[in-house]
Amino acid sequence: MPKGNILFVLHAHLPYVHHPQYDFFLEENWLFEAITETYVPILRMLRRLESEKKKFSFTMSITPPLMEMLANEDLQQKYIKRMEKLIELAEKEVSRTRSEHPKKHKMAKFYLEDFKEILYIFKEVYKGNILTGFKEYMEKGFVDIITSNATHGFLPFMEQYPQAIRAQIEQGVKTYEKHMGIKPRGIWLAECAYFPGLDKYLAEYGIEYFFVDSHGFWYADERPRYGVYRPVVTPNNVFVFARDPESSEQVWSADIGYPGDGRYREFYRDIGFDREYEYIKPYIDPSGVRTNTGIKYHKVTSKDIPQNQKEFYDIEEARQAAKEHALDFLKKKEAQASHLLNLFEGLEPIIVAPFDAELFGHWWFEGPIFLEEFMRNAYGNKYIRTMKASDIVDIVEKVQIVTPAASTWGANGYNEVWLNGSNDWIYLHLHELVEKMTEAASKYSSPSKTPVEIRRALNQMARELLLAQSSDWAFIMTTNTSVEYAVNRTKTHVKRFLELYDMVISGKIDMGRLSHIEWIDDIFPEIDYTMYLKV
Amino acid sequence: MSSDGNIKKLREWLNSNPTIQELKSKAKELGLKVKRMMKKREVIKLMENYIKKQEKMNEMENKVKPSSNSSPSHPTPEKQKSIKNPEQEEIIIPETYNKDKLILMPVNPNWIHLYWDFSDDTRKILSNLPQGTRIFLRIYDVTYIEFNGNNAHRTYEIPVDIGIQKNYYLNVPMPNADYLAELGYVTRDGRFVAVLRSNLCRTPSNSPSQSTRERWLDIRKKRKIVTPSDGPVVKEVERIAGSIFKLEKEIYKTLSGKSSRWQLISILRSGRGI
Repeated sequence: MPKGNILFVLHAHLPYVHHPQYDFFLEENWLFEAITETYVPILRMLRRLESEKKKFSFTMSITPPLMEMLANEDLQQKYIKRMEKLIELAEKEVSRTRSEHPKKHKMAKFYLEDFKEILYIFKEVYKGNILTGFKEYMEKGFVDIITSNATHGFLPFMEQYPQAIRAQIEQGVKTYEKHMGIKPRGIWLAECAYFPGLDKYLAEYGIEYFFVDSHGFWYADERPRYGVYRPVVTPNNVFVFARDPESSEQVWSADIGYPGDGRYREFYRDIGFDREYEYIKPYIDPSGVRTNTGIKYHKVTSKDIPQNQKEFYDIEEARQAAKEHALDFLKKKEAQASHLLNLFEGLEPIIVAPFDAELFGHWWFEGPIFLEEFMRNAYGNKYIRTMKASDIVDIVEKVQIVTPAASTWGANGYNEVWLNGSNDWIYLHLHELVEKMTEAASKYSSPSKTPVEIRRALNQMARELLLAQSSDWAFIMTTNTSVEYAVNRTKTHVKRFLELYDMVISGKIDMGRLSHIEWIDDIFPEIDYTMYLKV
Repeated sequence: MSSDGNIKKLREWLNSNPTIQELKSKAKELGLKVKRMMKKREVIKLMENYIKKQEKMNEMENKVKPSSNSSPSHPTPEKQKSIKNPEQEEIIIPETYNKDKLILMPVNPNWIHLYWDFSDDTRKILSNLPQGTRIFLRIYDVTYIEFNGNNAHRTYEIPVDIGIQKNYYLNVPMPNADYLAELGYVTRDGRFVAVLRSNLCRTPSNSPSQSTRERWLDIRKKRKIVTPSDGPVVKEVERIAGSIFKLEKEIYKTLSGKSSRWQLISILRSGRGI
């Protein structure tokens, strides 16, 4: 019997943040928190479902900078150190909460066990590199792991520079191949940002499918007969899937989304802020700045209640909520699938539900439980099944040819999140860097005839350019938080690039300085600057 | 934006017994109203009040924002504190690359962003224009046209002050249209002389296609089929586009602790559908 296919897409991404010259760097916590709260919990879910012999599928993008960070030994060591400290703190909390409140005490014990298990999985099971875990489940056929463009650069703003687009895609493909051992079949375009013509570049690199937001299909050059509920293929033979607006809204709309439930854990109340300074000092940033620890004792309670009146969190109650929500979502998908099956006269609808992976666990602590319960209960369901994108690409026999419309998944559907008064100044530099990169690369178009120090400088220029292009910096400037870090990162990469450019053009390479920059901006060790010759 | 660290530095500086001139210039830098006749202790008083106010504001900020957790999608509300300048020095990058450039970038179906940069030659031409010469941006709708300078569907112009502006947001009437811009000046006899011409920029579409056909690919038989379209089987429910001001409001709500991080992310990821 035909069924509705639910295609979850988890987009796992963080900008490349690695400062080897510091033992602690606050922004490196972005990665550490995501490992503890999202990536390892997803791996745990995979192991459990597998051991229960529940068949399930989903697609997950792990972006090249995230892959590079997860595979970086220095960051792995820093993470282990951080977790050891955290476990020490959790032990203190267990004894301290004994006299405070039974609910707090119960959670303290939960955290201690949970952190220990997570560190065990990280250190002992995967030997520090959890990418091997994701690779394992890809090879077993449960999940699609797909790539993204090199540093999550916003491709529509590179439209006039084909070589910049090619470099973003080429590096994205190569980095994936290095870590996953095969070529990527699919790509998640940074910010889901597409413009007509981009598919041509994807086809050049053998990419078989990508994703767009709903209106990419709604406003396409010809109307897709089945709306967003079947993939299409572009004139360049690349498959495209479009986001289902209903699924997105049901799960995480700001107004009615599941994470707003009062039983879920409150993100803001963290003992990093709640405990007295002297006690917490060894576990926050060494500069003395209070930071989140990951130990939290309060629940959302209700949206309107002030932070200091939040009630104590109970993990069992929250688990129950996540289960209820998973079943509710399942019911909604059943209803949607039957409705669409009717309309489509038996042709199977494909319902695409993309999310930031970090929503599950990091922003919404119980998100991984929700996901796991959904997968568990979808198994054997009469109306729906979970699917991954590559399976659909493999079985589709007839597909409509459509060029999707320019679109992103940003607020209002276009480019304003990455181009507004807070961040428009960056593009003069980003564009100029591409031109200078191309110029310098053309001067040394044959790498075998290029002196090794010049080659190294050119490669480092390419790294600086790619790092400057991360869409995250523009995004952070828009959200008006951590702005200084984002501004500094942008300017730093521009400055280092220009410094290297001057060295290359003058032919005088300061080897000490070059080696230093190579050390502090150490993404993509095998990069090849000649990709900027592909104009 | 002031932060704890900057305020602390300012206080230290104030205690280092600066001269009246230094005091006045610093106060002006901070945007304080300095009167010409002010005495040294009056300026000090002014600055002390400013410092107190800032400290109070920082304190309040820290109260409403108990979290410093950050992630790129969810960066920390604790400004400054999180920041270490990796090079431990102020990062200065060029303001111009001395190259002629007029770049259009699509913002959304009705807005285009435009920025420019000049070569030394162009800068010379522009600064040597007779007194009172006006500089204009011309915007051409050149959808499906090979533009030759005077065959645009429509031409718009807007005066710009290149002395104070380096970029501009243009409100354009047509989605899914090709635009081209020129920056130039108007001669005494009323002719527009273009100095720079931009790249071509297509605004994104915001409405369903009028096309009445469907093209299909039969993958097994490797055959293309063209059929008339009866329209989509499933009708979309479109969202009215929000405004950028709404976005600002939502960002503010999160910064002030009135809404959660995941809610802001949800909005920033809401596309046209949710």
